Formats: sequence, structure tokens, C-alpha cells
Amino acid sequence: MKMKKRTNRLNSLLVCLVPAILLPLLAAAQDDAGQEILPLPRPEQLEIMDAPHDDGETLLLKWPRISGETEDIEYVVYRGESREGPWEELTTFASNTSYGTDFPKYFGFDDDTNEKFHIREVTPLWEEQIKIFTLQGKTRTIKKRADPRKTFYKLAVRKGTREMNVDAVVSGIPHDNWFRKDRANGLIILVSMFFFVTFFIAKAIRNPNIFLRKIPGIDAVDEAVGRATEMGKPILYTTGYYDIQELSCICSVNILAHVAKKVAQYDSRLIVPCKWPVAMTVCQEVVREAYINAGRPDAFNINDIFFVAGEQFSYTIGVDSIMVRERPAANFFLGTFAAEALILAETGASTGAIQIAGTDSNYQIPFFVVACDYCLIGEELYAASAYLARNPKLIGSLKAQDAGKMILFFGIILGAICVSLYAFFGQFDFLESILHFFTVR
Amino acid sequence: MKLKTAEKLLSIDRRIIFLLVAAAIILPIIFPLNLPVNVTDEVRGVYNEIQQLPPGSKILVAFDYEPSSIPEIEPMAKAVLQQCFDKGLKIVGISWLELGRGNAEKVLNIVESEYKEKGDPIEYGEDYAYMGFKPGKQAMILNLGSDFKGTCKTDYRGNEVYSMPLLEGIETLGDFDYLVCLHDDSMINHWILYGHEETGIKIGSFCTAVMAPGIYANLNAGQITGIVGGLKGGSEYEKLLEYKGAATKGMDSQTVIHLLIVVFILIGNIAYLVKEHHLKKERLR
Amino acid sequence: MNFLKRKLPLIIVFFTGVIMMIAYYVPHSPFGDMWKGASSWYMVIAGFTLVLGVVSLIRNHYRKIRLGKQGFGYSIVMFITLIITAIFGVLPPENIYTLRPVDIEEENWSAFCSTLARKGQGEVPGPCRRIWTLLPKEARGAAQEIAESKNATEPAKESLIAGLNQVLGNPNLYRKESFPGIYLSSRVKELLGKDSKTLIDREINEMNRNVLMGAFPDDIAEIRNPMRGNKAGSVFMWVFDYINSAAAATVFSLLAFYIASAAYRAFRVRTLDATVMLITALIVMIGRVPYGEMFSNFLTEKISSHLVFLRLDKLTTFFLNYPTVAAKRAIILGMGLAMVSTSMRVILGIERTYMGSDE
Repeated sequence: MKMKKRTNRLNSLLVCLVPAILLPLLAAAQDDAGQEILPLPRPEQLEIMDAPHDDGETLLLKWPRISGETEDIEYVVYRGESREGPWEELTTFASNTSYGTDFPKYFGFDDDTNEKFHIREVTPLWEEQIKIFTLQGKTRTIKKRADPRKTFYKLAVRKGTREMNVDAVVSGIPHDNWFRKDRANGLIILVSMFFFVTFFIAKAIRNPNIFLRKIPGIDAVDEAVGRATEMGKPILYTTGYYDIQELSCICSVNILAHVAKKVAQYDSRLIVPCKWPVAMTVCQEVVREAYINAGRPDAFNINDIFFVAGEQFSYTIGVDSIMVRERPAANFFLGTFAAEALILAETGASTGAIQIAGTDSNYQIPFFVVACDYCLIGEELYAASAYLARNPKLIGSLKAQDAGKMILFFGIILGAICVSLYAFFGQFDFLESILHFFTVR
Repeated sequence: MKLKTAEKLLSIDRRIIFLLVAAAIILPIIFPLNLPVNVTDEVRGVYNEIQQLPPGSKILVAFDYEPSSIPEIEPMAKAVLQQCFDKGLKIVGISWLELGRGNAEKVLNIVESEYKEKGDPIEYGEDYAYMGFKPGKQAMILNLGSDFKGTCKTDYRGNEVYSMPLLEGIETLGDFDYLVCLHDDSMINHWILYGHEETGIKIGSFCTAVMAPGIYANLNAGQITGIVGGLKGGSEYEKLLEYKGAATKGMDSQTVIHLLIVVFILIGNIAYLVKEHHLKKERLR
Repeated sequence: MNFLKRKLPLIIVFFTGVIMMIAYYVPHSPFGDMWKGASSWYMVIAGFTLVLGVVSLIRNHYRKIRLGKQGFGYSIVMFITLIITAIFGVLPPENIYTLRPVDIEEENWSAFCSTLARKGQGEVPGPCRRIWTLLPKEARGAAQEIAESKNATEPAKESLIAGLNQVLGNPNLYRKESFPGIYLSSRVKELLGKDSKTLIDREINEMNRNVLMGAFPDDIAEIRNPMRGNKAGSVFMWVFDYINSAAAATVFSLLAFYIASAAYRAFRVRTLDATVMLITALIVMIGRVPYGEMFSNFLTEKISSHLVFLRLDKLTTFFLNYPTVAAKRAIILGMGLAMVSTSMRVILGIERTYMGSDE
């Protein structure tokens, strides 16, 4: 009886103690588990859309901004082959980043609207082409990307090791689009320039007497060639750092044709060391034609137009050594140049040659201005061929260039006024729209 | 100053100038001045961007400089790689310049052996990888923006990139957390145009001193986060990383040569003004 | 002929130019891919054009040597370096993963062979047992001979090395139970994970050499650098690092001297513009170096907040950020329009001088 009473008392004690110990612990766990990381978006708020004006490689995941987003909470985007998975973690980012305002090329510059939602660029899964090839007798396969396939995405919120999923799975296939609306501003300018060029060319054909301001560097070409002929020394011409596919090299070759014609007429010698084989071939043809047109095909020496070296400073030293050995009376540095500009110009100056330089490389213009007698700055190099040829079509395009520049000039003033008005008054939304349309996205 | 002296100064033999320049460069290397370095906002812009990245972030490093620029760019290349490895960031290297490949191999090998000596080895394929030279220039960058692995296919050791653990999660250029562009020419403009504008990737420019003034326009436009220009930029970066590398040591020579050129210019102008004064006097007579 | 030489290039330029312009605005296939594919074609063409350059180089220098012109000795040097660089660069790299006798140090031969023979003939699984089972009979004999005589003769070494190289060529060398706890790099793990039937010989050698080095870290030397090919340590890269790069950096360094002499010659107070340029240059040159900043450090907020702007470093930053940028932007804007205009002239066939004729 006494034993039974003791056992009963023990049991009662246990019944009271255990919950007393466990309950607070359970309550703490519940507090932890019960508290949300963030109030998650509703399933219908998670959207997927094709990225507009792209080549079919991107989808956009969109969901609304939620209060409480901080740097230590992350959004996680999962990607899967089907609604049931398997899922792979595609991208993770801080929850207070990646808003619509970060993607003006898709959504424009309306910050008030764009900051209310998140956007994440996601890539789809791809159909794979298996290509089989043999390498040293062994068969190997590589996978090549073919078409995008329907891909499923889901969104989760993570803080530390805890994660909560949005109860929605979205899917999509990207498509390539026909037009890049974010580049419409550039297209308008391009089309305008096209019309300017055709208009002014037509105008120049009707009235060839169009004023062109003097470009001293180009006017000095005759002087330089004449000087070289009198002194009985050769003329050195370089087309620059880049190959023929660059516009600066094409323009330089155009000027070379004119110089070569003059040299042929004066019966002097022209040396053209080239950095690129293709440019060398083009220069040879251009100089040959110039000599033929001047009626001196016999005077053309193909060995004077040669390949020196493909590497920058090997080429520079090669040209320098030609300058020191041959001591040309005139040096032409026309094209794009890099660090070798001053080395070439100073070496040429030390030999006492008259130097005419022209470059579109604005880092090297100061060096040429300092070290050369004449310097064509930037667009003067591109204008030189029209200036020399005095062909109405070419001069017309120069005028179109000037017209475009005037429009840019007034555009800058107008833009400055718009920005100032908007900053002061803040009411002229249409001004903001104009500014945003012409902003590069 | 007499006219004869002025004329002598104006027609001084270039070789005397060259000798003085050589002395101004060599002597501070032999007798270091240990000048202080102040860090500018442009350099801090790059440093802070990299510093705030969490460990495990992936950085694309474009080795786009020629061998001639090694003395200027290699110190800053080593500095930024060191910062990234110390922070546990992962590096993926690439070059669109043929000659950049050799430079990249060299600097990565140097950094790898330095970490091996420190007892904290970095492993190829897990901490860093180098894709090698990829042809195509602008089109290559465009292709990276849509399919990084498909454009690279293999790294410079011939390993397939699809199974490389370092490139897990990298589908496009935009998936990188930062782009470090080590360049000595205008490649940065292409990375901005086809990289940043298309994918939004943040870029830091590490360039030669002659390129730096032209890139301020991009910095002001917000297209790059900062500029580390020339030896000065390199020394500022080294100061932020709290060590004295080749760039900091080179600043002594750069300081002396700058001041020497200033002295040359002043002497030249004084001689010029004296000559003009004498000539004017003679004309008035 | 006139059509091929004059008209056809113009047609190609026109269509290529127009299509590439369309491709910039139309991402839909096939235009979107054209942008990306075009440069690949260019690289193929550029590779062939290199032949033109080399032919021109050889022709000119050969002519110089033949005629005995001044400096023809340099042309001989050019030929020698061209041949050496080409041979070492073009030849495929040798197999650097196979073993040579020098890959085991002289004093280690006896100990290595004795461990290999003793553990290889034992019952306990491990690297030595695994290698021993795969070694050919002659190699086993050579290993035992070296272990017993404690003297590694050349024929024995060659025989054992030949046997080990045969083991290195076995795609099934690695077994987890035979090589417990050895370090495997991610590259080796990647190779081990592949189907051995798809691995080429070089990859099998690379995989097994790394396994061997992991099993015998003190005995087997590190993988050597290849002599041929263009990887680090090769002759080609040696030429690149120690001749080409060094020479290029030297030539680049000439700029320091030339800048000094050009600055001395050019910066004169001839006109107002020249004076402004001179003063700006002086401020920027001094402001960009540590000593220069120290000259104006006395201008602090305490003296006047307005005067702080006149500090050399602040002025330098101002000049770099505003007037310089403004001037460069103006030049870039003008150049941009000029490039559009010139490109249109080339595409429309108005500008034809680059073809050799204006007609």
C-alpha cells in the first residue's frame, strides 16, 4: 500500500515536471518555426515572360516587391525540367536587389512603377545535339546547344539555413524577337543620317561648289612630297596599328592613293611598311593603280611596300630603323596608333623629316600634336579622302556629317534645358520621356 | 641669363636629357625614397566593389594587355588576384588578345607559386581557371553574353568547361559577379558596349596611365565602377591591400621623373623667354 | 574580269554591310547568329592571310641577303629566329606524363625498388601491390635486381621505367581500394569519372602519372614542362617571355625618354593657349605623384573650405574629370558621326579608293 502510494506520487510528479520542462522548449521552437522570413508573394503574383527584343535566350521572372526585404534575406530561383523537378538552384541574390529599375532596357525609366517589382533574368534548359567525333582513334561526344525547351521555375526565400518556398511553379519557352526596341533611338539617328547623306550628295551633285574649310595637314601633302623630291630622299607612309577592316585604315589607304599619285608624278620614292598582310596587299594594289593612273607603271616597285612584323613594338622598331637608315624627307603617320605613336614621331623628328600625322585614337593625338608638324585630329582623317578627291558625292557626305553634328549640338543644348527644367519644376513628364527615349539602355 | 646661354639651353642635345631621365629613374630604385601614397576615389571604387563580394563569388578577369605593358599592368594584376584569392573569390581568366595569353599564364603561375610557398595552395579548376585566348573580339564578348560555356568550350589546358566545378552556375557573362579588365588599349570600350550594356555586369578598369584619362568619361557615365590607372593606380591598390609591391616601388622613380620633366619645362621656358626678350630688344634697336 | 575585280567586291560589301546593320536591330534568327558567326569567318581568313605576310617577309629579307645590302646580318638573324620559333611553336607538345629515368632521384632508386618489390609481392592491397600486378616480368626482375644489389644500373633503370610507362598507359590502373587516401586534383577526378574507352593516350598517361605521384610523392618527380608546343616552360614560351616580352617592354620604355625630350621641346609659352596647356600639364604632372600632393597639403579646411579645391590632387582630379572628358567626348562624337558617314560611303560604294581605283 505504501509502495503504491509512493508510485502514484512519483507518477504525478513526473506528469507535472515533464510538461513544465518540455513546454517552454516546444514554445521556443514554435516561435522559431512559426515566424515567417518574409510574407511570401501569392502564387498568382509570380509571373514568367519572354524577355522582349532579344535573341530567344532569356526569360524574365517577375514578382512584386515585399516589405521587409533586407540584405541578409535571399531570393533563390530554382529551375527544373518538369513541374515535379528535379530542381537545380539557378541563381541567388539579396532580396533588396534586382528590381525593375535595374532593367531599363526592358521596362524603361519609370522608376516609380519599376521599383515595385522584382525582375530576374533566367535562362532556359536547352535541347542538346550530340556531336560525335574521333580524336586519336577514340570516339568522343560533345553536347551542342540546340533549341530552348519548356523550363519550369520556382521561387524561394532563404535566411541562413531556413528556406520557404513560394507555392507556385511557372514555366516558359523564350522566343527570339524581331526588333530591338531598346535600340530604336539609335535606328532613328542612323536613318536620319542616311537621309542626310543622300540629300546632301544629291545637293552636291547639283551644285558642286561647296565650301570646305582648310585642313592644313592635307594641304601640306604637296609641300611634303615636293620637299622629298628636291632632297632626293624617299617618303615614308604608315597605315597604323589596325588591319584593313578598320575604317581608319581604309581612310589611310584612300589618302595613300593620293600621295602615291603625287609621288609617281614627281618621280620620288615611296616606302610603305605594313603591320598586317591584308593591309599590305591592299596598299600594293592602291599604289600600283596610282602609278598606272599617273602614267608611270614602270616606276612602281612592289618591294617598297612590304610586311614588317605583326607585333606592335617589333613593327615600331622596324619602322624606326627604316627611318634612321633611309632618312626619309617626309613621314606620314595616318591611321590608328597605340603606344608606338610617340616613338615613331620622335624618331622621325630626330631625322629632320617633315611629319604629317592623323589618327582617330584620341589617346595618341596629344603626342602627335607635340611631335609632328601637322596633325589631323579625329574626324579630319575620315574627311581627308573627300577633301582630297573633291568628288561631289564625297563632299556631300561630309556636309551630312556636319548636319548631324549640328543636330547633336542642338540636342545637347535642348537636353540640358530639359534636364534643368525637370530638376527645377519636376512636372514636365514629357521632357523626361524624351530624355529617356534617347538614353542608351 | 645671357642670350648665348639661353640658345644653348634651347638647342641642348637630346642625349643629355636622356641621361638625366635615366638617372632620375635608376637612382630612386637604388636609393628608395619610400614616399607615401594617397588613395583616390577611382581606385577605391574598384577595390570596394571586389571587397564587398561574399566568398565564393566568381570574377571574370580579362587579360587584354600586350607584353610591352607588363611592367605597368602586371603589378596591379597580381594585386587584384591576391585580393580575390585572399577573400575566397573564384577567378576565371580569359583573353581576347593573342599576346595576352602568355601574360595571363605567367601571372597566374607566379601567383599560384606564391600561394604554394605560403602554404595555402590554390587549385586550378577549383579556385581559378583560365579559358585562354578566344578569337572574335566584339563577337566573342557578345557570345559570352548569351552562352559562356558554349563560347569557351575548353580552357587553355584542353579541359572541357561543361564539367568544370568552378563554372557551375555560369551560363552567361552576366552570371559573373564582377569583371576585371586588364587592358592597355581600348578593349574596355568593347567590354562596356557588349558586356556591361548587354548583361549589366559590373566592370573595373585596370589600364596603363596613358589610357586612364580617356576612361574617365565611362566612369562618369557609370559604366565602370572605378579606374586603376598606371603605376600610380597600382601603388594605390597595393596600399589598400597593405603591401609594397612593384608598383609602390616604382612610384619613387615616377615622382622624381615627373619633377625632373617639370624642371626641364621651366628651364626651357625661361630660356625661351630670355631669348624672346633679347630678340625684342634687338628689333627695337 | 572587270566584274570580278570591280563590281563583285562592291556587291559583297553592300550586302554584307546591310545584313550586319539589320542584324544589329533584328535579334531573330538567322540575323542574331550572324553577328556571332561573322568574326569566326574573319579569323579563318586572317589565318590564311598570315601566309602572305610571311612570304613578303621572307622575300624581302632574302633579297637583302642576296644583294648584300647594309644590315643584311639582321636579316640572317630574322630567318634563324623565324625558323626556331615556328618549329617549336607548331610542333605538337611531347608526352610529358611518361616517366624517364631522371624522374626518380639517384639516391631514391634503391629504396623505391625495395618498397615496390617487398609490398608488391605481399598480400596487403595498396599502390605497390596494384602496380606490381600490372608490371611486366622484365620490369619486376629489374626492380628486384636494384632492390637486392642496392645499385641501380642503367639497363635495369631503363627496363623498370619501360614497365612503369606501360602501367601508365593502362586506363584501369586506379582503384579506390588500392590507392586509399591519396590526393586527387579536380582534373584527375574529372578524367577518372569519364568512360576509359573515350580517353586518349595522353589523358590516360596524365591521369595515371598524377595517381603515381600521389602514391609516391617523395620518389616520383613533378611533371616536367614540355619543350615543344606553346605551354608554359616550352621553348616557344621561353622565347616569348625572355626575348619578345623583354624587347617589347624595352621599346615601350623608350617612351619615357621621348616624352621628356618632346615635353622639353614642345611646352613653350608662345601663345595664350600654349600657356594654359603648359600650366595644366604642370599641375597634373605634379598632382599625380606623392611629393606633388605634399606641396599643397597645407590648404586644409581650417584655412578655407574654398581653397581646398586648389590643392594639386583636387585640381588634377577636376581636370581629368571635366575639361579632359568634355574634349574627349567632343572628339568621340565627331568621330562617331564621321564613322557612320564613312561607313555609308563604303557600303554604298561611293568610296572605292581602297579597291585601287576611283572608278
